[in-house]
Amino acid sequence: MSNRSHRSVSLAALAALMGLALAPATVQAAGFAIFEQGARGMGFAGAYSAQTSDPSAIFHNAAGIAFLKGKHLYIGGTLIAPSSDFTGDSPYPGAGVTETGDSGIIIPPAADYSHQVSERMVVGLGVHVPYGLRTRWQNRDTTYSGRFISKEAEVQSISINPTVAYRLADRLAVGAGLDLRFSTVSLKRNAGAVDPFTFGVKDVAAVDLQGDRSTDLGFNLGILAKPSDNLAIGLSYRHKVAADFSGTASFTLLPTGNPQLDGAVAGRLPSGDVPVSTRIEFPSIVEVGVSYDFGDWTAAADVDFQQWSSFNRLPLTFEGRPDLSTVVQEDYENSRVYRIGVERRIGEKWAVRGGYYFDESPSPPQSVSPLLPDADRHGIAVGFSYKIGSWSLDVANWYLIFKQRSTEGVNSDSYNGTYDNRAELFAVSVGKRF
Amino acid sequence: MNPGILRTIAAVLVALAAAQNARGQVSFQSFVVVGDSLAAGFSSGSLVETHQRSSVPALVARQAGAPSFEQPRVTEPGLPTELRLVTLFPVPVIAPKATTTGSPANLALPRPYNNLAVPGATSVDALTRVTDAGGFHDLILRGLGTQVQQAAALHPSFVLLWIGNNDVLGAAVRGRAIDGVTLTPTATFRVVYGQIVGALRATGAKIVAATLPDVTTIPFVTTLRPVVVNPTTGQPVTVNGQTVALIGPQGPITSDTLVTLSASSLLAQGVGIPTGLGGQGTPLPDQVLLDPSEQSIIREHVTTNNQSIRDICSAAAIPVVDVNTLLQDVATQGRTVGGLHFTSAFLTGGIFSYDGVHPTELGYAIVANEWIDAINASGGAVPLVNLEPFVFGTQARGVRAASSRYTPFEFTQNAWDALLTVFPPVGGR
Repeated sequence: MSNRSHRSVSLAALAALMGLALAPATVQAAGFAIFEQGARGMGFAGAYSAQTSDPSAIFHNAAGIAFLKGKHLYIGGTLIAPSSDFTGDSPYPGAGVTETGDSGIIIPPAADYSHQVSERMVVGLGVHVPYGLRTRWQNRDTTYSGRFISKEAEVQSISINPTVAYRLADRLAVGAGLDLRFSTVSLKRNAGAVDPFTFGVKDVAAVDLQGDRSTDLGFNLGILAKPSDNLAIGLSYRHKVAADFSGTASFTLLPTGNPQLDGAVAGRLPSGDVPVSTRIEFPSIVEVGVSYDFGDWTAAADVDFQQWSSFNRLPLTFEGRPDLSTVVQEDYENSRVYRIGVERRIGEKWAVRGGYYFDESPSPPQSVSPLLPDADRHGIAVGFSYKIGSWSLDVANWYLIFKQRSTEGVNSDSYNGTYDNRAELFAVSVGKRF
Repeated sequence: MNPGILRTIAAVLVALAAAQNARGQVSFQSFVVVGDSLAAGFSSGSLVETHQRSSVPALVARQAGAPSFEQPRVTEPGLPTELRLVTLFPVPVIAPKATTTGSPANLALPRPYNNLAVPGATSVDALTRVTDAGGFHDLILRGLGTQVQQAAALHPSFVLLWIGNNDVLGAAVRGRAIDGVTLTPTATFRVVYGQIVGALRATGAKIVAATLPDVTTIPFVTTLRPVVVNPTTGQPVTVNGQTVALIGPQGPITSDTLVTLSASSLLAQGVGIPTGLGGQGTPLPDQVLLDPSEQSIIREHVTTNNQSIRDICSAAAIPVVDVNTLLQDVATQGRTVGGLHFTSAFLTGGIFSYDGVHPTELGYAIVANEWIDAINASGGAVPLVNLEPFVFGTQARGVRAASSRYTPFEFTQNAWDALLTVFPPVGGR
């Protein structure tokens, strides 16, 4: 028999029960990528890496801005209303148990500016939210059955993206950018312990983990070719960014009604703040796309390759408390997104768009959790534009159809069931040429 | 015959067949259990209906929709009286929760109980024992024959066979591994187990069996340390940086000796503690210690008997629930349920009850799901037990002050005596 010390400390297991299980949760692109970076591109369902008509190319393909004459400003935001319903399976939380996600409304902004500095060179600056997520469950402090896994999770990553693009030839451009990333993370859950007087679990603490802003640097590269007047081909790459968060986990002890148990918990769990660190690797993304003009029509198609295998583990390290520290295995897999879109221009002022995409979930069934109930999704895009002089207004709507996602009985927290996600996205962008 | 009647009969037969198909190809119409305290739903040193309701067979029968599944129910406060946690501070104290005992609730049932498992029964008992002078055999078998005979009399369609634990478990609880006294000889076990399976197979029932746990992984033998511990901190006392071994019959015990929970009331009196640390300096008796050779004898018996179970069941195409692997897994990894982590730690782990040997209701429910998995893997279609009610539990609590000086636990002499009644010597009756 090895390691006897582990077994023989009275109440030592209380501490083990307090181990945290935390990881991020999703809204609209599989995993927690956000692809909503401009209403025009969204009208194409995001098939935009071979397009050069506005400076949101800084996000999709840095080389794209090389074809923008003069100065362009493009600013907008996307209103996202995600929700998630969960239906449990036995053995836990039990067949027929339902929970409702209540993530509120999220409005990631996007702003891009491009400035032609010479015949062949254009510089630009983009501000985007390439990754973000929020999951929040109703009754999370009381009856919500997943409260020991995640009550509320929020991850946000803002990118400031200075970019330079250069036309090597009339029909061929390259671009590159620095991706300065500011990320935050916040995770909340309850800790439970077995009440030794009843052998029933009691909620003994609320744990609120806040990761301070992490500032990290990545980069992006792109190439865009126009072999003919009608055809454009784009290829772009955005490098992964690893954010190392340090922050605090605050423990609020919850009275159980049993002073002896409360005393035992107080002796084992920290009260107040404990320094904590974690790390999230935001994946790299390759986009390949084509776009083709014919008369008043443009058609575009893209495939994105998202390197989600970088999101394989989420370590949570509590300083000086190895008993509380843990590593959440995520084991995400690389995934692809397929996008097609068409535009029809009507006169000088109007254009309408429609598109479709299919987004594969990178999450294996064991990682599908209240933190990140990820699922394959179909996106249907519609949008329009209106131009007055040097101004333009773009509007787009995405309607997402999620496949039901079952944990297949293998969730790593043994919290099994089926998630039904929904989201509707509404985006407005305003453009100005100078 | 009137064609209308024929049609009615046909419709009834179809409906019956459909009812059976609803649970897959296994019929639970007559659900019978042969076993010991684990199958009886014994928990916290007691057979009591509040826990019997959550016995593994009761849960499986409920999930399978087995009709009129009867167990030999015992009223509160149980038989022997159920143990409870009296206090956590300054050290946890475990003692019977009342001075009275419960009584049989359905002793007059005019047929054998479906759950025939008798706490304390060995494989030999299941096959041959009818009476035990007023013990559990008399309470449950009521002179109607052995477990196996009564099982056959019920014309079972399904048999949950979970026997053999006491052929090895008594040795761990008694701290003595003596072949033929606290351990059934492995050759005997193989023969007897084969006879039990043979008799039950002759009924035509579907049988599911189980392996025996490695009893040296239960909290009863893994909780206390072989060294002097400061009960306030739970940490070993050190002298000149060295831990201090407890005293056994041959002097200081080795670090690989297991000290059973039954040592705790002696440690509280200073027995086994050197005089230099304020103890009595007298040795702990051998029956509260499992030295390495005793451990290896028990382990060999478990391994050999499990091989016998696998051999016999495999030859008879009987699925085997690997309770041994399950409890090893719980002991080493724990079990996660809904983000909560349960372990085999005493008191705080959530899986083992106050006697340190038998599971809690949650523990039994987890084991029941292993049986259901095995049943479903061989043609059944039984829904898993919902663990949620067991996770949050409903047992009452009680608090009273007590104190003790040298042990991180006090497992009172009464608690110990009660537990021993369930583990009679194998060869001594």
